[in-house]
Amino acid sequence: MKVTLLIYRKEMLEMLRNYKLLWIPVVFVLLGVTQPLSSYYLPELLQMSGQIPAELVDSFPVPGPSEVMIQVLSQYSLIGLLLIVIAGMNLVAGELYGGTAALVLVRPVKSAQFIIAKWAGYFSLVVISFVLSYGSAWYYTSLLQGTVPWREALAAGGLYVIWFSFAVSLTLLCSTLLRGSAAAVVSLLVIGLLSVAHGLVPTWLAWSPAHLLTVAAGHLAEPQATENSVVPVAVTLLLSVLFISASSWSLRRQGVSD
Amino acid sequence: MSRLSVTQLIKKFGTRTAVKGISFELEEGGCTALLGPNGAGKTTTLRMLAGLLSPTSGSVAIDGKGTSEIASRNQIGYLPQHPSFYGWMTGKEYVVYAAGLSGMNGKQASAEADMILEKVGLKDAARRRISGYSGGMKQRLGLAQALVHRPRLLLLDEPVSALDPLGRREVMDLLQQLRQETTILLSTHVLHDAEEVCDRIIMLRNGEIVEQGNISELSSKYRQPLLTIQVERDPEGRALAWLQSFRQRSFVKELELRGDTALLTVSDMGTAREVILQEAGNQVMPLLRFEAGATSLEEMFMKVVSS
Ligand SMILES: Nc1ncnc2c1ncn2[C@@H]1O[C@H](COP(=O)(O)OP(=O)(O)OP(=O)(O)O)[C@@H](O)[C@H]1O
Ligand SMILES: [Mg+2]
Repeated sequence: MKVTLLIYRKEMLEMLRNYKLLWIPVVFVLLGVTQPLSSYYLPELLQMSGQIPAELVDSFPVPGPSEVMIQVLSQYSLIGLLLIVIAGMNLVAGELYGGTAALVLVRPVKSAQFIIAKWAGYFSLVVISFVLSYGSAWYYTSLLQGTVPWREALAAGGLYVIWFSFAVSLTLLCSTLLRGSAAAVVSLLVIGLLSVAHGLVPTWLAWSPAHLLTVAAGHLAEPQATENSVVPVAVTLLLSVLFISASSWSLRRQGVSD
Repeated sequence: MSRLSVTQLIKKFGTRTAVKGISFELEEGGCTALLGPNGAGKTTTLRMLAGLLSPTSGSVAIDGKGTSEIASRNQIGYLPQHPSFYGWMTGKEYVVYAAGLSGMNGKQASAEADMILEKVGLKDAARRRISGYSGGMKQRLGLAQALVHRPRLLLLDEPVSALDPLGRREVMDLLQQLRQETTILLSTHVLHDAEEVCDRIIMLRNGEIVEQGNISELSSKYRQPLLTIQVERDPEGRALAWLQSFRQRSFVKELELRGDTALLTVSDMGTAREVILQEAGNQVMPLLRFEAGATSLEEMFMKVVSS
């Protein structure tokens, strides 16, 4: 436990010193506030450009708060995910092939301690970024579009956090098994294929992590008819644990270079 | 009970076998050198001993326990050939972190780190970022992290090859101190370094142990009478031809010609000296140098390396 905490602290300090703890939250916040701001100012912008007749602009449907929040969420599942995977692809691989892991792993440090600390550090970064970003999106949406049902928004956010834990765990595993960019490609491919498959046959994959995103959007779209998400949540958490275990199991397998 | 025992250690990388079944034991205390040319398998062996590379077969045990066990890992201090650190940390932060990973609490770790950084000569650079360190400074930092938790077994992969003469001297002196209380296994490809701090050598070539033992025993074992004869070059090449002719003498075991100098390993120094000096006198050879001595371990090592 003490060792895990020590490595976790080092991870956080590292992200602070290399500004990851700054720029990833900033990008996330920008990502979050773009939706409410742009849908509020879009009619004005169009009017100012003068290309489109005023009547047409007026006839544009004005999106409600729930719709805007759903759009915000879909940004996270695309650009947010891309950012997380790419910024995390060297999480373990960087240390494993860069030689810094060797000097840690010759000490009485269990593979699991090393991997869990790495996971926790990166997941913290993701959660911090997401909370800041989602909070700002919420704030601007309430300000510009109208009240956001807080219970539903919170539920949807919670489901996204769980889905992020899946993405972080998968990235971590790929980063342990493969070198940097290959890790990113494989992680993105797996998540991409999963969501495409889920888009094609949603009923077959209602248990999968990809389904969490649909459920989350459903919370905001139809608060009365929310779906029970126990199964996909359980499966997602289980998969995360599985990925973390596989990652710590394989850490020392291929030999630690120095 | 021996501290470190290595049994039939084999490592294959694909079809290549880097380490071909080596076995040895290290007793508590003292210094042993793993000596061998480039590619002999020194690094591979040390990495297996440190538990960073799993052997294809064979076993490594410290006090009878495998090195993959946590308890035995705390007794190892390891310096890689090219250590890499977190460049964003300062030297002091790194050593404190390393000490913490080995189970020391904050205060103790900090005190030990200060002490060891001073010992390896990094006191002034301790508060600078590692990314700004020179190669030799990184080597010293590597040594500091290997020593900070006071391990009982030190595995050092070429501890002095990246250092300047002064740094080399300092590290050698440090190792001299350490060998009182610690078992040291260091790798090197310079026999001279091994002779300076170690009392035993294990000679590796192509992943096999070709010779091992106490340095004093080995050097007497390989000590043979050696004659060095240098001649002046004459236009007819008479002198050189004369040197060549020693190859056929019964008392000459081996002849090596280096330009105008012949190195003769002889079986009987007395006879050899008498015969050669007489010939030189009779035939009026332009002798420059005539020296009687003995082969050293160095010659034996060179022979092992080049064959
Ligand atoms: N990861 C690896 N994959 C494939 N072959 C390897 C690997 N590591 C080492 N080898 C091979 O194993 C052999 C021994 O290498 P090793 O690094 O142990 O030599 P060394 O004695 O440390 O040499 P040097 O003095 O140059 O450091 C070499 O032939 C090398 O090519
Ligand atoms: Mg080497």
